[in-house]
Amino acid sequence: MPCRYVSPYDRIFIVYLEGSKSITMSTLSINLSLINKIKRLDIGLSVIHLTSLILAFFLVLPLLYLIVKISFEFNLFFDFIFNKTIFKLSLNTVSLIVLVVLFSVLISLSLAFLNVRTNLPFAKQLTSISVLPIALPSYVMATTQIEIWSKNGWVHNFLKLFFDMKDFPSFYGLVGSVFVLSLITYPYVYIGLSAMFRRFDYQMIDASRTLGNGKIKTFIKVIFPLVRPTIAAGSLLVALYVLSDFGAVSLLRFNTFTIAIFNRMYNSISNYGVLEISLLAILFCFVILYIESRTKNEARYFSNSNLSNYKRIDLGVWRWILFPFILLPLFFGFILPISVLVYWLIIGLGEDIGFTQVIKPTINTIIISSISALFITFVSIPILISVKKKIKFFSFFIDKVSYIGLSLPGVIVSMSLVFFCINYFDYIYQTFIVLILGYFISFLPAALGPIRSSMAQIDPKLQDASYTLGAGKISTYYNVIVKLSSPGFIYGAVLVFILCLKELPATLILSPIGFQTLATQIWSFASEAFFIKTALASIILVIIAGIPSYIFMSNDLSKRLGR
Amino acid sequence: MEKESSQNIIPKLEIVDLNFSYSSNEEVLSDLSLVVIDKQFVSVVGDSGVGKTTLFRTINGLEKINQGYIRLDGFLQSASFFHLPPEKRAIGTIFQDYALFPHLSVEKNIKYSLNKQNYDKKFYDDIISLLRVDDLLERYIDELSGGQKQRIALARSLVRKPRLVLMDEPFSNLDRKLRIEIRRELKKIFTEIGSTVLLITHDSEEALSLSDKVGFLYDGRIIQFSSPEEIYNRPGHSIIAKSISHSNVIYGEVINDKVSTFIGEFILDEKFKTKSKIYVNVKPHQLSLSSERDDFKIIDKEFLEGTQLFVVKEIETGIELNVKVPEYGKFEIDQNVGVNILSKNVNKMLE
Repeated sequence: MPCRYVSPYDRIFIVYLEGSKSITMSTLSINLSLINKIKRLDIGLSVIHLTSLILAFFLVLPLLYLIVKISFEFNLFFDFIFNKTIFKLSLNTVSLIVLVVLFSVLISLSLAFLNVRTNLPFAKQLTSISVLPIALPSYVMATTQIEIWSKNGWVHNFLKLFFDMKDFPSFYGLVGSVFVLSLITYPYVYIGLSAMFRRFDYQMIDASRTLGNGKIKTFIKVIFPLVRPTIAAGSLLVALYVLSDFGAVSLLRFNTFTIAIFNRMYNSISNYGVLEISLLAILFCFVILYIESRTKNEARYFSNSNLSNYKRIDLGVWRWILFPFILLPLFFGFILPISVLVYWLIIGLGEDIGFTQVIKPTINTIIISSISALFITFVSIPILISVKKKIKFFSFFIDKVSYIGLSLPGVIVSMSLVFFCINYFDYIYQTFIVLILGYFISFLPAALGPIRSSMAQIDPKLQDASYTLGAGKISTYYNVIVKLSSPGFIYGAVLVFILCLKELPATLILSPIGFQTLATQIWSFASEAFFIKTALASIILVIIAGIPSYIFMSNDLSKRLGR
Repeated sequence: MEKESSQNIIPKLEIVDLNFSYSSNEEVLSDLSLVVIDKQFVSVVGDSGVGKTTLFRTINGLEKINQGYIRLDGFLQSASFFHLPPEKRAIGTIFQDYALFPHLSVEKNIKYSLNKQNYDKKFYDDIISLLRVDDLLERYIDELSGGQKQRIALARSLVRKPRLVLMDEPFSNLDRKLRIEIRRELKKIFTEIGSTVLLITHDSEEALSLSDKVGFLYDGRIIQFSSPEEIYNRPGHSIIAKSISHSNVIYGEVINDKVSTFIGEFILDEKFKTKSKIYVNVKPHQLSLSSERDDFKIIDKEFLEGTQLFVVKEIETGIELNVKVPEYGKFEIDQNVGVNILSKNVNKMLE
């Protein structure tokens, strides 16, 4: 070897330089140090970093804009915050979050335990189809549940057959919102808990019992602390979902932050208070994230490699008594809503209410979602490279910034984009660029997640092997990293595609005038109470967005269950 | 440590005619009986699938039994009509994977079973220093090595002064060197604090070197219960002979006080009727190989505790024998050899 250390990258140069035999050892090492210097100014890499910097700029845009704007009128913020309306709004939002989290945890705890740990009939099949409600967008779930539960709805009409019932409790407001959102969000907790119950080391319970603690003490001291982190992680997802939900709460007429922001932007003359409420909502996000991170710190994860003590509890006669209860979430969260849609569709066919109206929105939806999915997946590459290069602060910054969209409600992202564009980039306001930008901010984390995890699984030795076999950086990156993580890219792209299909508030706010997608069409019909007209669009949406999301979720579940 | 009169032989643990089956009807334990005397170290050895873990779980009360009874210090623990829950049994249990709580520090793990009533500070401190876990108290379980986990699991079960220490394959997760080291250490500690120990293991070497008495578990019952010497020298059953010392179980015919087999004559340690057919136990070290004959062929070899164990096959009949050879490198696989008898004393066994 001509010098002490030769990186695989330099080898090509050595081979090249050795081609001309006249070069002496000393010039070779000089040449190498020169090459090293040039390498530091790697032009390709700088372009990549610059790209990620620009992308990061767009990612922090909403937050940055809000903070700057608010800081100009900081004292006004406090004046605005402390009044009855805002208090009511906060109370609504908080109670909705707390109740939905509570119910989804209760549903998924019992569901996951019974499905995974007991000998309930069809437990294996039920384990995966129990995630089905996740396939429904919240506004579709809301319209169908309104049909079932509201006054003169299915249940009321059914009861009228037997009782004289003129009055019927209202489904609108908190009750309906909690019901609808719990049914949609419980799978987020359920998936984690099923995996948890499967992995749970039951020797822990045995050990605690033999150490003199009874069943109750064992539950408090051992089982609960071990299950808590999983519940906390699921609850975080649920809480953020509820905080950012727009479709369900708007149709159920329950005033939360997202509704207030939207209404103040579109239904009032001035935009008074929009920024303040947004900032408040963001503070709520931080509180939720903080609470979750606190429970996470205490968590010590365990891996139970020994699944041999995996034994299902024999419920005896109870298995048939409990069986119908286990079907309830699936029944109310999927079977009934789908029946409602089919019912509407049949009625609609009879009345012929312009199903042709659906064609254009469907095409629009598919095109805009595909473009966004491709764009977002593609731009995630430079971001991933910049993060991976581990450049001080810069990589850290890009990494953190890329997750902003995960916790910010879509309404806030879109709202800030609108304000920003009106003030600074007037010419892109109400173009597809802003819409795609909105999707980008919200859904980049969704694309990054699967790509990252599939990249993390690549054995770093493969990269070294590629270098030592003489491949350069770019060819190694393409042949090893990109090719091996291509399932992650596909998964990420499909995930973003589904999210764009279903996304309501960003599409409503950022679309060019007259541009309708399935989501906005369903919402505009539904908000005017033309429920039957939503049927076809909803069914199309459930089929093209719901089926893949169900497949992903149940695949994820079965992977976690180790099947 | 309090000293009881060692002459007073009271059974610490008494298992009589224990029957157990899981819901699927097949019996896992059938009419199993076992007695452990105070301050004794007793092992139950058996291959996998003979009901070791089930026995472990019935003794500490994690499973209810179908028939028979289990007594501890004379008090009924389990019977068909009675079941004392595990938390009431005061049996210090050590699980195979230690079952240390991942969400608690080492100190909290060890103090898990202690409350105001049973906390004896001096005893606790003694155990902590005896097991050398003082420096680990602040740590969490995922920051410990296998040997440390082992010591903490032991400390955790000892601090509440259990009536009996019950261990299920406690050394199986350690490498061989550490296993021997920790084994010695444990034996010393148990003697020092006067524990009664029941060890359940598949490793006969472990059982023979640690125990005062060894029970051999086979097919849901104890088929031999005697001192380690007895079980090694005079295994009563071919299963035991094969499992413990790779012994050869050879069929032969009794002639006076000798037995004639296909490799030669052996001397019996007791009288049998002439012409009766019996099985005898010939240990691998009682035989040797010679390169002068060629009626056997070496089919396998294994390095075993400083010597070599050869498996040879008689070419004509296909009967296989285990032979131990101290010299290394003298014989090779596929070589044709003869088998000589070095030591002629054997005992009769049940097939």
